[in-house]
Amino acid sequence: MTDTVIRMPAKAAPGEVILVRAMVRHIMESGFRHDNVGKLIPRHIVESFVCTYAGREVFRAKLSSGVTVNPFFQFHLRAVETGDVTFRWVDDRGRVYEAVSRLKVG
Amino acid sequence: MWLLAVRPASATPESLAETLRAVTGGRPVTEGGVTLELPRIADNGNVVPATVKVASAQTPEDHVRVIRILSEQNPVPLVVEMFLGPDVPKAEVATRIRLAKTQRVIALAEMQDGSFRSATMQVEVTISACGDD
Repeated sequence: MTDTVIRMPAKAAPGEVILVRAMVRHIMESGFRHDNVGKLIPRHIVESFVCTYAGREVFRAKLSSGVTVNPFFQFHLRAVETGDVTFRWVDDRGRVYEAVSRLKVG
Repeated sequence: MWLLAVRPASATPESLAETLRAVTGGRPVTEGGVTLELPRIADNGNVVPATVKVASAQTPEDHVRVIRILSEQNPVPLVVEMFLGPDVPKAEVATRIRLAKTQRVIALAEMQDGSFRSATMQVEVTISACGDD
């Protein structure tokens, strides 16, 4: 869990628009850099990010090496019901990073 | 054989045009209705905050499906694709991108009806990203 940082309110009024910010700690090695003996450093990046709210997908991203180290996304949700907001990142080596935030509505 | 693994150092306006064509399927892109917020001068190309806002009612019949950020000079022209669910209330997203050098950056919004809108911004990059420096 320490690899992920989620910023969003824990509570919201029905219909309220809330701001969600999600970050994962990741090296995002572009695959275009060379080490000090001139060898290409292999690409190692997060390729996908998915956010769901109460079981429905609300935001998804496909990343390239052009996204920064510690990829960050910010978007909005409409609070409609109490439920889990889940966050899932997958990198190009199959490693999965996950986080869950409970949103209480009402 | 190792030469085959060498990738191009940077995109070109041509490969950007090619990527745009692939993404839009050749459909027309209207300039406007999209705001791309980027620093005019990015001191560090490794971390460039980017916000994209699309003028959209975000109703089931009329909403933004995808927001893409494209680069003219990065090694990979399609920087990021962000897919919004139909009940996302506000067509406004932010992320952080890398810019290899001074260049034009494009925000491309794909609407529910399959139409495309865009905004372009020139960013002056002081310290390049992606390279070996």
